[in-house]
Amino acid sequence: MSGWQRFWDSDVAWSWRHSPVAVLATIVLVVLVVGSFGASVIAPHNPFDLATLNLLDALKPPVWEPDGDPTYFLGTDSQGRDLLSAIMYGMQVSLMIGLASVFLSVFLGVALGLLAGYLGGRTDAYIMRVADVQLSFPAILIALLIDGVARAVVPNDLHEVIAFPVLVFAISLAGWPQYARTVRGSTMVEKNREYVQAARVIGISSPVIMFRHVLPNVLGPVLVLATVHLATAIITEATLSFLGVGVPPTSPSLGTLIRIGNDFLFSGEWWITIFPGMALVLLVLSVNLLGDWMRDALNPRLN
Amino acid sequence: MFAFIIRRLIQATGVMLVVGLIAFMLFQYVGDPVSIMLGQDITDEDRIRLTNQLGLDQPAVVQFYHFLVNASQGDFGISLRQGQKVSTMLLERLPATLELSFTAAVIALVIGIPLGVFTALNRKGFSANFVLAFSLVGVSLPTFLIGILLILVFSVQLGWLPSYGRGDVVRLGWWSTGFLTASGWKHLILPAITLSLFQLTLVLRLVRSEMLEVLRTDYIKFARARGLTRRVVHFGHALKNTLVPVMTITGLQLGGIIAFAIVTETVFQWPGMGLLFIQAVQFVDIPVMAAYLCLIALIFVVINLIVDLLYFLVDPRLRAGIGKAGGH
Amino acid sequence: MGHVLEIRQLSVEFPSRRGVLKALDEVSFSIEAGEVVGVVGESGAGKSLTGAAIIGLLEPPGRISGGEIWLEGQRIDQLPDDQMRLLRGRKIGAIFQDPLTSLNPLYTVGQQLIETITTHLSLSNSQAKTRAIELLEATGIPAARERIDHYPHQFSGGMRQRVVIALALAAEPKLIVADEPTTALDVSIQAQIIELLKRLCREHGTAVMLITHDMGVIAETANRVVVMYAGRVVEVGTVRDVIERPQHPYTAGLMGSIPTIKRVVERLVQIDGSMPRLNAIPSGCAFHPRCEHVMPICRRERPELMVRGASQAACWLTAKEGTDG
Repeated sequence: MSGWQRFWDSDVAWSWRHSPVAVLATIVLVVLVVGSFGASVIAPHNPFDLATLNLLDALKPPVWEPDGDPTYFLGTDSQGRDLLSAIMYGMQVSLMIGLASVFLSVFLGVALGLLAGYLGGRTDAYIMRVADVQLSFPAILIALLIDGVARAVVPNDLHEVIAFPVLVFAISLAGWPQYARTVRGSTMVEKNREYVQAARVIGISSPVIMFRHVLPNVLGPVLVLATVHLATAIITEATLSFLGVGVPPTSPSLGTLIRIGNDFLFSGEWWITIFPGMALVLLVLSVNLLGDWMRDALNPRLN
Repeated sequence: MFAFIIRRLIQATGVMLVVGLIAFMLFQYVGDPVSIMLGQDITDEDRIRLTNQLGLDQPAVVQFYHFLVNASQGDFGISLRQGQKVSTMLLERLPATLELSFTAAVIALVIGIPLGVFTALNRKGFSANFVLAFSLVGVSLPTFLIGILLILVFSVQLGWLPSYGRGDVVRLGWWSTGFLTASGWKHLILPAITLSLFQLTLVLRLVRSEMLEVLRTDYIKFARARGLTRRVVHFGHALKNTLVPVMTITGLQLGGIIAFAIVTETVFQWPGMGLLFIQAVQFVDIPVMAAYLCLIALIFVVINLIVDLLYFLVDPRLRAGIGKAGGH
Repeated sequence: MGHVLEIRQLSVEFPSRRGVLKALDEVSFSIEAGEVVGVVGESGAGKSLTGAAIIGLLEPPGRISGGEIWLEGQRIDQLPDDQMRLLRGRKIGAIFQDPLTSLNPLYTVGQQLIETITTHLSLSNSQAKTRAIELLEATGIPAARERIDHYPHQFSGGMRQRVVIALALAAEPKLIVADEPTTALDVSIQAQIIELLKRLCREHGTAVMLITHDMGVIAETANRVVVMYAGRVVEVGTVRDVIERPQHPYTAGLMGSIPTIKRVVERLVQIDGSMPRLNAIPSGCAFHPRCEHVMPICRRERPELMVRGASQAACWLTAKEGTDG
């Protein structure tokens, strides 16, 4: 009876195996994740270790160009930092913030959705009203506002310390309503099902009922939402960093790298901004492809 | 029908009040209100006098009331960074943002909707799937990156289009328009395309998925069973039913364009409100931030209202539902 | 022979992940002009699919994999869609189950009627409107002249189904495929709609293929009945014969499970087990696992429709007893 077993349906695994796009996207994603989280081990250089930087190697183009240098595969920036390594570390930051934001959003949204759906009445009305209003404001505006306020309220020396939590909080705050909506809908449907009422009669407590029965039914749609949301979160963080209000410069994300590189666009050193850009697109694209596949695979109607 | 409008208006006012409250709290608790109002270099006497004058020693509710009164007249004080009146600064930059957003919205709709219909009706076609793949890439490209790429290709490499500013503008009263000059248009193209791309792909995918849903309905099946031509079924029935929900969602999305303009204006140094807002956030210029927030909220609320009204006009179920009872 | 509709060995299959599923397996029957033929069976027996195949609106990936469909002496199962479209509405009409979702909520009833009429008949708009009003009146909608400008949601369920019937009959087709036309309606309304359908078809000489799982409706309305099971036809005969003297064990079970005032019954008959899923159809006779008269041959070989009494049944019992005239 528990929905957990139903979730691990072999149809999903079959569908993945037979979709070349999904398999490719997963492989690319795995490579990117391993490359970024293993950056400290795998990266050819350490762009943060000032001692290893050589200003003479600054602004070198990628290896296939006439001035290229094989030690710096994708070229260097104005400080002599290896672009490939910077990208790997940068992607680590981008991924971490993206994942953290999504987790927090899912947690918040699912919890609030369960509450709203199960308790109904005024709790439901309040939560949903807030969700509705928030949904009509674009994520980036909310994130900018929170970030700006935090920046103003917190004294300068603490800025770096709180930058990450604030960023994660800001992005996740913009995302919870969509989960809450979905979960609330499913909860309300399940709440009235007979087996829930039967369980109550037997004396099983409400949280247990919700967890065992409502949650598995909701997992599919939430997973699809989360994957798409991950892509959005990564883009939002990149945008904020590009605008200069995201991660601090000491731990640059892909967005920061793009911003730094933007200054060199007109002087012809295009690689400093383009390669981080391509890395970002690759990451987001594979996440989106996976999300698209998942949406089709988990859609009960198409079966 | 009236009840509906009144209800929506009350809701709208409620939202504006909440936003106003947030803006008010920004003024009060983030930074020092007095220096916000008058700048940093004032004497103690001036401070005391102003505190009395502004009523800062009065209860918060009264202050909030004053704030609302001022805000509804567009008075948000003086910018910390520029020293000018916030309202003047915003008004000066409003046309730039609105023209950019409007153009981007038009592009997104004029290209997005037909493409969405096309991909829904030709599920197996090669070109349809190509468009779909392109739309997926479009969703994966952040707006600022699109801007950078366009600049790289069209400004740096090809040198065809400018990448900076708005070009020559013509003043009509307090409005400044770039639509009337060739230079204005040249400057508008790249930013408008950049801003529209994300929305375009969203519209495309939305129209496609809605239309596919509609094509599965019983009334479409029945229309086919009655022998109606393909064109009538697809465009007379399916399209009309698709556009009704699409309209609502699109309306809301278009509000997002104005917000996304922040990024585009930054990349292209377009002198609009978004650029102003970013500079304000970086500098912690509270009055500008608060004013922008309220203005954006107002625009959103108005757009929502218009969309709701449109929905009302288009869907007969909403119109007649409150009036006549179902016949027997 | 002049059938309006003749289906010969029609097979429909669905390619799926788990292989090809045969949803209809060599279905054959015919319908004469003006006749009402009921097609009855449980959910999933293939009744609606047969109807969909006839109109040419099988949902992909389903496709006709064998057999023929003949309409008034013309073969139609292999026609390309644009030619099939000319027949739909004009020669074959269709009525679906849920009147609420069968009508486009954004157009008035009149608009939908007029567009159907002008598609098939060359009438001007005002002529079409007159005809539309006549149709509405014929289906028993009061104040047709005003209500023609109403939207579907302004009609009650029964009224909507009358509109649907009007739409289906607008171009005077020779055959109507009615898929569960009364299932979604209140019981009190059902009788009215059935009566209406019967009367109109009699007046216009329209043949009806009445698909339903409700034997009561069949008993009221049909001349002959086709019983389907697991995508196959198991019995064909007049309504009277099939109800009173069912020849196939499944049909007998169906009849016995209907409560009736006429007989005193100790217990309603219940057939053990359930209809097999498409990917698990038994060998030989599809009904054999549930049949109390099962014989060894039933498990091995699939029975064709054989004459038995006044009806035809696909059952080896027939062969055993020989043909009884």
